[in-house]
Amino acid sequence: AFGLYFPRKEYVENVYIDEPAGMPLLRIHALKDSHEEVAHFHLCQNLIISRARSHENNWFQIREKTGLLYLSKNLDRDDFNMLSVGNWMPLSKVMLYVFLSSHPFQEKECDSATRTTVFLSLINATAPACSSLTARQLCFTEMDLSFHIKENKPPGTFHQLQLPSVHHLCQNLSISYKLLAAEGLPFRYNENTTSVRVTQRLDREERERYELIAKCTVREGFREMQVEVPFLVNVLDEDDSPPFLPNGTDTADAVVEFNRKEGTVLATLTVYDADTTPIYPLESSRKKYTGTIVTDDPWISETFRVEHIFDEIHFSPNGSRVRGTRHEYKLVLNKSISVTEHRYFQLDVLVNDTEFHGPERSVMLHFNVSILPVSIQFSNVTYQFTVNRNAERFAQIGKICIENCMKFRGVNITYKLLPPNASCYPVGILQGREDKYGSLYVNDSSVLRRPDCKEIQYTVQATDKQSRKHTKTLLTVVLEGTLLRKEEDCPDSCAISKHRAECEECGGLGVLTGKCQWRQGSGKGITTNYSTCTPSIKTCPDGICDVVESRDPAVCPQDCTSGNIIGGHGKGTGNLGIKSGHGICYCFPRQNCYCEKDDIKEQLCDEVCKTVI
Amino acid sequence: SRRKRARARHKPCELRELEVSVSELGLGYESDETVLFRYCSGTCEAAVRSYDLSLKSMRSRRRIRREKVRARPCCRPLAYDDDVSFLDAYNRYYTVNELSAKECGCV
Repeated sequence: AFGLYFPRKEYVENVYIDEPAGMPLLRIHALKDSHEEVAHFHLCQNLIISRARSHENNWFQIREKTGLLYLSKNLDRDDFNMLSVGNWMPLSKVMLYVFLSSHPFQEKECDSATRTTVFLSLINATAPACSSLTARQLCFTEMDLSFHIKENKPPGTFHQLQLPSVHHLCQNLSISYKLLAAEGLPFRYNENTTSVRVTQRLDREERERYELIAKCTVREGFREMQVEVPFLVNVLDEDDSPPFLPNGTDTADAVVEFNRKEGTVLATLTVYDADTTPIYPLESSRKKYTGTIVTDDPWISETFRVEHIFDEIHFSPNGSRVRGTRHEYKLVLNKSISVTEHRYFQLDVLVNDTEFHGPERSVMLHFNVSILPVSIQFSNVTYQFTVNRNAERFAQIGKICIENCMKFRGVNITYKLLPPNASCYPVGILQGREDKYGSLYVNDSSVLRRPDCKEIQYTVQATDKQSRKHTKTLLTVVLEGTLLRKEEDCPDSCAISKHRAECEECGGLGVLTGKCQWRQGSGKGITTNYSTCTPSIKTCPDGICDVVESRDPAVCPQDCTSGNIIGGHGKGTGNLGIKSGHGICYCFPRQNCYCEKDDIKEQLCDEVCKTVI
Repeated sequence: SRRKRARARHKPCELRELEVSVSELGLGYESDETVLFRYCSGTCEAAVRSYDLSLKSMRSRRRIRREKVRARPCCRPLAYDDDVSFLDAYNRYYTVNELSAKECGCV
């Protein structure tokens, strides 16, 4: 993208019927890359009328040296009708491409990359009298005066304020321009040619936006009118700054201990660059700045990867706000690391600003990596749980977990109970797919009722899947409490009960002490704190359908139901369970759940069909 | 007026409709949106079967004593309308299904 370029992407102008041949329409400027270049302008021999149609250009020409676009042939009503046929727009517009080259055009080449678009609005009327035009129309086109100039390029003229067509038609008007707010800025207005010139090389890292005002004064006899419009210049960036490190920080510590999972970010180092980095296209911005691990150890290149993200930051060199880039290089685990791995080494990452042409185009980042082993062991207490003899199947007794297990990521520990010698075997252990702990639960409640079972010793074994390392500890389950008589006609699920009284006099799956527990909600609208009957308030409803609850839908449908919920409610995560409900929520396991205010006295039927008993 | 009442009582089972606000439904949702609530209403005298007469007779002969039985047909929805969605006062969307009747019948 070097060479000549246009300071504007588009130009607009109006064309009226029967304007004479030789009528100037607008001036197009080009800016240079080097002093020696000479700009040659050229029109493509096609007018684009709409997406589907184009027409040969017989009317418009451009002066090769000066960039003046003019009418070379009178455009009469027939031409107009021909150009606007099939153009469904009320105002017909035609489009021209103007090309730019540093050498005279040999042939009609229409594929040079440097082009700008001219939109001509064909107005179905003759040109209006100068006296009927407003000052705004006499001075400026409808388009904003907004330009872009590349940094580090030689000075040059990039715009002419005077409108050639107005100047041509309205000779008796005196129209003069001024550029305001330009003191101290590198722009000069030349009164003789009404052109604006950039007087020096611009530096985007100094300032990237200039906001001036173009003022126009129209005099007609004693009348004077003035118009002011904004005149904006944006400076385009090129890669002229090397990467640098904030505060010189080029080293970071990366410790691998409990979190050994693939995808873990271990450490981040930041590299700044005063240049902007365009986001699109993604591949090119990734290629522009590269970060590669410098190593010949295959284990390192397999186990680690570098992730690069960048975002825009702002800095203020001298009061103006300039955009720059912050690149972040994250050292990421490429695979899960075994618990036995134990190493220390330095890992170097080479960051390269590929488009910068200078000696300091790259920086080296250092990560001090320490991979610590973690031990798979139970803390040296033995577990002891007491279980009430009236507990039912799926009652949750407690959790079992090795040392630091909740901090583990990417370490798969499985828990197992080794069967005791005795025939008393009331509890089991279960583990969810993502769970780092084992949940101890009652899986045979008939054993709890046997008087010969009092204190049961188990051995718990935890095994790390990857390294096969395992550890054991003792677990004592003490049975306590006297057996209560079971109520008749109790459902097997606590959740069926609608009222406190019936809830607390029955048991159900998952109860710890033989009776269900009533949770009294606060009862305002649809709330997470709804009233309900549950085997244990601690675990149900808590918004999580845990591994024990999911074994049987009768244990805690409040957390696990996937069926219909009738009445005001909000569903839980993954559409499981009742997250929030209105009044009292109760469930018939494997069927519907209901949430309703208690005070609704249900009428089975209307007045007409009341049961006569 | 007696005749009027008698006539009114003989309106057959059919679909009626009512425009109600979501809050009035009493489901606990707070919303000012209105929904069209269709319900079933009317008598079902023309749908009495031998079953109903016999069941009534069994009951009066005390052959059925303890259970709750219904010895006359009842006007109920046979099908329900599509789901109703609305925005509540806390800017949350809710969808309620089987809220209003689409078709009524004596069952």
